Amino acid sequence: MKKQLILTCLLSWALLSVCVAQKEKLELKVKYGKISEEEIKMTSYDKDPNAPAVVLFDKGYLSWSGFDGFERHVRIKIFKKEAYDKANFRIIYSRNREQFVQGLKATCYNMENGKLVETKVSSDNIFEEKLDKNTNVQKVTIPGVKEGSIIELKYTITNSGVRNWDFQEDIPVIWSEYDIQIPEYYIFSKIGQGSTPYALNEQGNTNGLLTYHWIQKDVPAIKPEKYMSSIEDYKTKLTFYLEEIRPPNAPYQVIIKPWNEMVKLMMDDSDFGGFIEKKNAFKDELPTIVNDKMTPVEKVQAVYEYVGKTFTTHEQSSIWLSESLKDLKSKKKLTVTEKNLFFINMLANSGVKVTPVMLRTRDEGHVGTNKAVLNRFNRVISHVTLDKDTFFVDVSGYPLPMKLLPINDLSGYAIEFLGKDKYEIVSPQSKVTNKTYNQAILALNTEGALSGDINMTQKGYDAFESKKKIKDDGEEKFSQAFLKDLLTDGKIETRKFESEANLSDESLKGNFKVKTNSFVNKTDDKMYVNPLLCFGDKDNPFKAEERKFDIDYGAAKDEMYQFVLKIPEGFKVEEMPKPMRMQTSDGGIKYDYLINEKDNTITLNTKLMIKKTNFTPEQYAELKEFYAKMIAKTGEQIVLTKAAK
Amino acid sequence: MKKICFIFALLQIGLTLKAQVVENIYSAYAIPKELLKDANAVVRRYDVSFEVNGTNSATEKEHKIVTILNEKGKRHAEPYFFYDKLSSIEDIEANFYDSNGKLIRKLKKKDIKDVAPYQEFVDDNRIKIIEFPHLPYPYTVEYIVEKKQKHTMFFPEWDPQSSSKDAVENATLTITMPVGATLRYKELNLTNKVEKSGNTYKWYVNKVKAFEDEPFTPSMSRYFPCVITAPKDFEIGGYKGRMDSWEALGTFQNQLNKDRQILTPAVKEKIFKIVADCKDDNCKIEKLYDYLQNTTRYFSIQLGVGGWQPISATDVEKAKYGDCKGLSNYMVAMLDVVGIKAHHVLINRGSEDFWRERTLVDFPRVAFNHMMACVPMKNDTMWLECTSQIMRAGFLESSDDDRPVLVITPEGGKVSRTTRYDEKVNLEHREVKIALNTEGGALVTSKTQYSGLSQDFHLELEQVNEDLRKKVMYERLKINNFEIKEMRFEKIKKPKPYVEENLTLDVKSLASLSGKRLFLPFNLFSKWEKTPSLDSTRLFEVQADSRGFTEDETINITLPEGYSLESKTGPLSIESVFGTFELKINVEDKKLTINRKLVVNSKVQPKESFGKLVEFFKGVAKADKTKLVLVKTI
Repeated sequence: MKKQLILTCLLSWALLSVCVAQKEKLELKVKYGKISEEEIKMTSYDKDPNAPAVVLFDKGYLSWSGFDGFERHVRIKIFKKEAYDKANFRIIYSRNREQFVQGLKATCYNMENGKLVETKVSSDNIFEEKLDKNTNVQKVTIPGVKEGSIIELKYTITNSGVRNWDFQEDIPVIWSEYDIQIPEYYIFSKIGQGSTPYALNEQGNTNGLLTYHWIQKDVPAIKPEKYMSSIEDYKTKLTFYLEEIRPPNAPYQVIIKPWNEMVKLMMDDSDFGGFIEKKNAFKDELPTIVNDKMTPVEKVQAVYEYVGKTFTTHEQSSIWLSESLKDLKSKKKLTVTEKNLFFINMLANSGVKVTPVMLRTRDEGHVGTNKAVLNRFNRVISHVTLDKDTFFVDVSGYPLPMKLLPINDLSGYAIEFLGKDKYEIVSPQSKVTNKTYNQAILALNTEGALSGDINMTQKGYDAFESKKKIKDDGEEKFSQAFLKDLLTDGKIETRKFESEANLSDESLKGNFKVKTNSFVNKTDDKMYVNPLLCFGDKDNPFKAEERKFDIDYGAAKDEMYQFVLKIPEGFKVEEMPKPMRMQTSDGGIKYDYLINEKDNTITLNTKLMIKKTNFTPEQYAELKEFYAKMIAKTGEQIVLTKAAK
Repeated sequence: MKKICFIFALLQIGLTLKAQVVENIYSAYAIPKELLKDANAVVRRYDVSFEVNGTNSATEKEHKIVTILNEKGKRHAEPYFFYDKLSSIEDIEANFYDSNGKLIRKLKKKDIKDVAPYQEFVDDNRIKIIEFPHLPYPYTVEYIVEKKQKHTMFFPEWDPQSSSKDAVENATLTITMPVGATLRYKELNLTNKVEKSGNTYKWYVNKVKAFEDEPFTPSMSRYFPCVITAPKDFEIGGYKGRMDSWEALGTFQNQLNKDRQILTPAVKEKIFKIVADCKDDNCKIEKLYDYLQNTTRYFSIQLGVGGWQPISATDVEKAKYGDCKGLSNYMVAMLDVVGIKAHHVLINRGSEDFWRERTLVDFPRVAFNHMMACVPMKNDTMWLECTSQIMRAGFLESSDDDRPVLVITPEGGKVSRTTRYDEKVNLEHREVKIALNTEGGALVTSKTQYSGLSQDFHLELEQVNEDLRKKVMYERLKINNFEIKEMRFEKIKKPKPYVEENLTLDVKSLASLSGKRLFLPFNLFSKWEKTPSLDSTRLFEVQADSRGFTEDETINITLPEGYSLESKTGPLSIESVFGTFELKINVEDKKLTINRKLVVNSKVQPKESFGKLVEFFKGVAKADKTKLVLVKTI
């Protein structure tokens, strides 16, 4: 029986080193440096032949007897260049818990002239960096990687605690195993997510040790789709939090305290609350930025611009200051959080009421717990309260208008620090509505030419993007791109913008006097007018046959359009598109198409309202159909006929 | 009290003014106003001095000061310098300054990264990258780099304006030759010619303005000021040569290629077997080319002089891989076995005009990035790109076509030109059938043959798996609501290679139904979308397409029951210096037949004709966009 099993193993390369022992116990025996013939010969992964690389195995082992530590052993086969970055690893560990990376081994294996050549990592390929005040990262870059290489990495972290485990990656994983032992006096909570099945999911208790053993096999790669919040929200993974330690014969130690106690801890910390309250941190700078003659909102604006302009952003997440104030000031490169803490301190010292708000950005995925797990947060922004106004500010978004938050902040869940031990759960939103309104007031002549005014109004993200384009490419290029289809057979006679150079203003207005033949098709006795002109969606954003993950728009938005057409003398309307209103079954997106004729003038109003920003994959077909209908509707034309004399 | 404040304010203004007028080369405020227009960065100084010390040694010093004005000029804050076994970087000094020209910091060693640029390959190329920190714009970076080279094969190619969005304030090139040695040079777009004193040659440019890139222009690089230099006699890795004629350069390459085409008797036997059934040379070449494609792959190993010398045919036969030189040499060797005389060919590979124009026929020098092979035939030459896994023998992709090359014959180098594929060859031929229903939906089938350079994209698409191909097709087709029912790609070799694409689409809402009418877009696959806008000023010559192409399409539409055509498009015929466009429509009961033919040529026209180009493309775009109107008659 056993012999036969081994033979079966030999037949399938995937199972070659995976031997199924009796009693169906899953086991994968591997040894560092012992590469199988099949692994070398492999040229693609049969379950996903297009994958640029595959994780042959990724094994994590956490033991509490013998040595206290977490051991990881991973081996990856590289097929294509695009996966070369898989040879770069980041090992994150905590300094203040006396963690060390030990026994690090990393090798690249290549077949050269029929021989297996090993390239080992040397100290030149390892870089140590400080992430924030508590955390270090060891960056390992395995050399010699090329198509067909196998790379292998093994290390141990001492005093590791329970590490989180990702079963799924952006390349397929053949074998992912996490095997851990935890003394029962450690109270953990575990958050699991994802949809790939466990081949093994066992737990037990032996001699006061809780044991868990998880295995997943042939885990497919996870890839982002359009309009998606974050891949981190969907990949299969396990996340752990140590909540309490209840050692025998010793007092309990509560690690994850209630939020109010956590808030107090942070507010007392000199790199967070202590810094915010610090009186003279910017005593030289502040008088040059704000003065007593300014209104509170002017002060906020002035500090916003000062911090935004003076410091560049360093894309590192943290929730504290990472270095001393003096070093940070001279470096002029701050993390997003540091910028916001600077902003908060300056405003607080200018007499403006401002509170810190801690969140996890959209690209990192949901916080996933309502417990006070600090390392689930990666950014601090602020909440400004004025006499008659209150709004969130993230100074790292500069030069966005002050009240417009970067989309990455809109994750829907944040902790606002209201005082020493007072907090509130909030959902940071921009005070600015995100909308566009285009209006065309045109007269048609008997030759099929349209002439008149096009007015553009944009507010929010679109206005900001347009202003950036105007700044980079100039008004002429921007206008040409904005009215591209109109120019196929037409021209812009004059153009005028309002507040186009002022990035801090939330809106942008434009007026164009135009003349065009692009949208009218004239025959002997008829004219066909395309009333949507160059506005509205022309291509369905949802084309794929199926959808795996939520559709997430990020921010709500209104798109409005008005078309007013004066019909020339001698022509009358023969047929017009019918008015239409539609909405998704949950009312999350609405589209109105309202049209009427009065006194030889046709007025069309369309409005697309994206009110809800998140839709489930089950709603995908409905959304796809919704857009298809809307786009088909915009293809309808107005038919005018020469009136009989 | 008030008074003091006033004086204080005055003093401050005075200070700011002073900071602005001071003649500080590092200060952004000292840049002449005309250089700021359209610029992302201003090269304040760019001084290169190159001193030739002997036949196999030279030193180069590069001093550059650049003020970076905005985000898009940021690449200047990460300058990099190549070196290898035959050259070294002796010293790097780097400083950076704020907008007022105040020195913020001198860079330390840790700010300079040293990496291998092509990690996937084995070579001795390394680069040093200076990583300047960032400050609010504008800020200024400066570096002085000293390089040494142990050869004289490469001389400076000085291009102070490396992008259209860079302005140049001052730049110089100084070359000092040993007594008796000749410097050869070519000046491009220079107002000031060389100044020579003794053995020293000097060039300078100043106040070169930045400019906007313009669409539909033949290579922008032909407008930049540039000096290209080269020696007459040179030496590298123990090999000596002359490069004042193409012939001599070929002779030098022959030295490097010498004795590298030897194959073992066993291999020769194998080769004879492969071509055993062949009756003519064409067949033999194709068989051996297929054998090369099927058994070897491209892998670059370039160490020292190996950057120019092929590894031997025997080594390629053993290792089953090689770089372009190794594979081409192997191909030449195999052909030799069966009695076909083939040559090595030096070329600049790349589809952009920059690469097509890099070899200057009237200025022999070593400036190639690639090698291929060729076989002189009776009437023309058969070019063989030996690193491609998908091309077919004798046909080139847009990365190798139509450009001067150096053919290495036993008698020395001879300049030749690779095949040109024009609008007669680059063809997209399509037959579409649309069966429309009364709801505006349609079943659409299409059969397209892509040939000449028009097949480049589809050749690659043919390679990838079904899932990815489908994904790409969904993104490419700008059709509202459809499902791909069937999709087939086929690579056809003979008589001329082309790719055939067959599609069946279920389009749920193709025509918009409005009352008793259907508005039908007829062009689903080749809608012209690249119409430029007419600029108020046009600076450069105009070219509609760098190679030229033809789209020839027949669309058959079956109307739904009860509908007839109310308004049609065309017929239309546009003639332009840039090409022709024809749209014919034939109505026959319930069937419409539309013929659409667009021919775009590659002729370069004066800048004044830009308006004509815009007009031509606008005409095409408008016709493509027009909807047919069908009306219910029953």
